[in-house]
Amino acid sequence: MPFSSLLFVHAFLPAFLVLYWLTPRSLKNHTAIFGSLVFYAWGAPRFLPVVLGLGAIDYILSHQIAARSPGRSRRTLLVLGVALHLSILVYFKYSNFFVDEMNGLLTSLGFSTVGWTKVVLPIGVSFITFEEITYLVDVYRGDAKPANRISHYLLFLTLFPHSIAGPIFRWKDLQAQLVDRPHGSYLVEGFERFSLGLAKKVLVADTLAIPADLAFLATADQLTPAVAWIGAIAYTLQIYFDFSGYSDMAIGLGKMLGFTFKENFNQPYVSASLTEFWSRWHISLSNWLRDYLYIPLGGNRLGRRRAIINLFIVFTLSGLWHGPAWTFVAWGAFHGGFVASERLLGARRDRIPLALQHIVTLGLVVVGWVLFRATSLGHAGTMLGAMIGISDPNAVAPIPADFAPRYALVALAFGVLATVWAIFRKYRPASGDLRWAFLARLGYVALLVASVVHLTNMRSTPLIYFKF
Amino acid sequence: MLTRKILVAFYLLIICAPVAAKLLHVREHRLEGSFAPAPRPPLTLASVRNEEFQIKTTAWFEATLGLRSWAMWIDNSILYHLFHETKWGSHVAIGESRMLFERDDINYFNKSGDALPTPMAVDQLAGEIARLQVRLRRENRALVPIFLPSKTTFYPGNVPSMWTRSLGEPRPAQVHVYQAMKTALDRHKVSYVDGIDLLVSSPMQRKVLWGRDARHFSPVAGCLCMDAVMRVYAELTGNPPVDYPCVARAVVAPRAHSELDLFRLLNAWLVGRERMVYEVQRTPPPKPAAPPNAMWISTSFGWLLEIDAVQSNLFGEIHVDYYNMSLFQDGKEGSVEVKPHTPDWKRIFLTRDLYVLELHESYLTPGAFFGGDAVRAILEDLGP
Repeated sequence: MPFSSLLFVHAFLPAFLVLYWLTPRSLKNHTAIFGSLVFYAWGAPRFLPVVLGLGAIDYILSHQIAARSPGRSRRTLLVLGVALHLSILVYFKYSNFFVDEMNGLLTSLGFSTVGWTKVVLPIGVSFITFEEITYLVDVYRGDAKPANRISHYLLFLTLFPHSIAGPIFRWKDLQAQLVDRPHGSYLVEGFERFSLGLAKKVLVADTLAIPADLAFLATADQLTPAVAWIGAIAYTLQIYFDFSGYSDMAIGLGKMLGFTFKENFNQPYVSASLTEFWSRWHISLSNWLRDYLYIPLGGNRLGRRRAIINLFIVFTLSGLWHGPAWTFVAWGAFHGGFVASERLLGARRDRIPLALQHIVTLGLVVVGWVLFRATSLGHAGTMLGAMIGISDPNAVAPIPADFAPRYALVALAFGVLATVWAIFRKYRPASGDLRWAFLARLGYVALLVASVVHLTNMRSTPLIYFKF
Repeated sequence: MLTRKILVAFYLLIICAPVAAKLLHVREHRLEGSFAPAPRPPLTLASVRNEEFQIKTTAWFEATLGLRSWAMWIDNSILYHLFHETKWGSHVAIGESRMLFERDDINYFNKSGDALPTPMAVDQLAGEIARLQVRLRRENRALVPIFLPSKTTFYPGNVPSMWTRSLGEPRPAQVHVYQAMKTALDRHKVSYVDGIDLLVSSPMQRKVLWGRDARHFSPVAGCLCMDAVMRVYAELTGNPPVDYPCVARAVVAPRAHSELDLFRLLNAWLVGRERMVYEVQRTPPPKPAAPPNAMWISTSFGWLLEIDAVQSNLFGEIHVDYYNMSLFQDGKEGSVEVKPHTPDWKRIFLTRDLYVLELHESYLTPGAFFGGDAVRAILEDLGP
C-alpha cells in the first residue's frame, strides 16, 4: 500500500490516526504496532511471520550479547545474528540472480541448467535487514542498550512510515522516542510534510515518469539524442522527487505519531562533487554504509590506498544492495570510482571553477542514473551512445504528446529551475520571511487537495525504491 | 493554537471526505467512458496470503470512492484549459481548432517501419480479395472492398505538431497502407470503392461529412459510401443500378448524440461542442421483390454503412461481422460469436449476395486487420 495511493490516503491513514489518537497514551505503541502489522501484511503477508520471527530472535540475541562480557562468545553471537540476516537478504534478493547467472554460464558451457523456483522479493526486506543488523551491532559495540520490551523492538522494525522504503533507522536514534515522545504536538507539521511529499511524488515524479519511461522503452528507431537527453534528465529528476517525496511523507507520518525522524535528503543536486552528493542523497543509507561497512573495513585508518579500495568496495556493494543486476553494480562502481578519484585529487579539485564543478557533478549523476535505470549494460550503452549522438541516423522521436506532454515539460522545467535555484541559494541563503508563513501553511493544504484530485484521475505509479 | 486546530480539521476533512461522501451517498457527476468492473472481493485467508484480496480491494476502493467523478472532472478541466491536453493515455487527442481525434487514428498517422505492412503482405491480401471477388461473381454475387479514411486523413491540417512524428510527406502510413493496397488491388484487377478519395474530395462541406467531436464520419458520409458500393455491386453482378440519394439535413444535437462521443469522453467543464449535426434526409422506396442479403465485414465504421443500408429499405437480411468476432443482424442489439466453418457460420457467411469488406486504413496494419481471416475462411469453404 504505497503512501501515494488512494487507499492509504483516504482509508488507512484516517482510520489509523483516529484509532491512534483515541488510544490512551500507555497503549499508543501497541496501536502503532497493530497498524504497522496491518500495513505490512497488506503488501507482504507471507513475509510477515519471517519479520516477526527475526524480531524475536534479535531480541533474544541482543540481550545475550549485552549480558556477556567482551570476548569470543559475544562476538560469535553477533556473527550468528548478522549472518542470519544477511543470508535472509541473499536468499530473498539475490538467489534468483545467482541461479540465472549460473544457468547462463552452464548453458554456454553446454551443460544442463539447474531447476529453480523463483523467489518473490518481499517489500522492504533490504531496509528491514539493515536495521536489524544495526541493532545487533550497536548493542555489541555498546553504543545502545537492548530493547527493554520486545514490543519496542517490533515497533522499531515495523513502524509503517519507514518499514518498506526507509529511511533506514538506527535503534539508538529511535530508542528513546519509542519509550516517550510528544503526542499531538507536531500534527500540523506532520500533515504539511506529508502533503509536500505527496505533491512531489504525485504531481512531479509521476509526471516526469512519462518521458523517462518512454525514453528508456524507446526502440532504436525512436531513440534520438533529444529523446535520450530528455529521458535521462527526466529520470534524474523523477527519482529525486519520487524518493525524497516518499521520505517527506515518511517523516510527516512520523511527526503525526510524535516521532522525529532524521532527514534522508538534503538537496543532493546542489552538490559540487560526488562526495558531497553522497552526503545529501539517501543520507540514512550513506551513513549506514559508512558506519557498518566502510569503517569496519578500515575506513581511512589503513592508509590512502586502502581507503580508496574501501570506498570502491562500499560503493559497489551499495549498488548491489539496490538490486541483483549488473547495471546496479556498474552504477555503484561508477560512483565509487569517481568518489575515489575526488579523494585522490584532494585540494587540487578546488582549482576547478565552481560552476564547472557543479556541471561535471550533475553530468556524472545523470550518467549514473542512466546506468541505474537501464535494463541491461547494453541498454545503458545505447542510451549513453544516443546522448552523445551515436544513434540510428534515421531515428524519429516518438509522438511528442505521448513522450512529453505539455504538463510533463512543465514539470521538467520546474525540476531544472528548482535545481538551479537551489544551487544559487546554496551560496546566497535567504533568511526566512515570517510574513509568508501563514500563506505557506495554506499552500500545503492546497498541495494536498491538488495531489488527491490528480491522484484520483491518474493513479500513482509505485515508488521506485519499493523494488529495492 | 486555534489556527493549528483549524488546519488539522482541514487536513482531516480532505482525507476523510471521499469515504464520507460515499457513505452519505453524495451525488456523483456523470462520467463518460468504459470502466472495468471492480466488485468487492470476499475476505479469505488464502486470498490474503496470495495478495489477491489486497489487489482486488484496492481496485474496488478506487472505483467506488466518493467524489471520484468530481475529482476527475476537475483534473481533466485543468489539463484541458491549462495545457490544452487530455490525461496521458486517454483515447482522445485535441487537435487544432479543437478538432478531436481518437488515438487509433493518431497512432496510424504516426506509424513507420515495422508497424506498417510489408509489400508482400499487402499483395497477398489483395490476391485473396481478388480470388473471392472472382469466385462470387461466377454466382452473380459480389464482394465489394471499400477503403475508409482515418480522421487524420480527412483533417490532416488539424493534427497538431504535438501529435505528429516528423516522418516527412507523404507520410509512411499513407504510402505503405492506402497507396500500396490500392496499387495491389488494381494489379489484381479488383473492383473496389475508394471511400477515402470519395470523402476527401467531396464537394460537400467538411463538417457535413465528419463532425469535430465525432469518432466516426457522419451518416451523410456513410450514405455516400453506400451509394458507391451499390454502383460497384451493380457493375459486378450485372444488376441494374439503383437510385441511392444522399441529401443532408442539419439537426440540433443533444449532448447524448452519437456524433459527440469524443467530446463526451473529455469529461471536462467549459468545453465547447457542436450544436448541429448532419443526417440523411430519406424517403425510403418500397422494398424490392427480391432484395439482396448483405454482410459487412467491418469495424464500427461499417455500422454507419449498415445503418444506412437498413434505412434504405433496399436489402433483405443484413449482417455485420464485427472485427470477424461478433455477428450482428439487421442493426439489432445482441450478437453471436463468429465461429468459422461451423454449420451456422456456413449458413450465413457462404450465402450472401453482397459482401462489403471494410478496408479502414487505420486497421490495415500488422496485427490489426481482421478482414483477411474472414476472406480466407469464406474462400476455403466456397471451394475453387
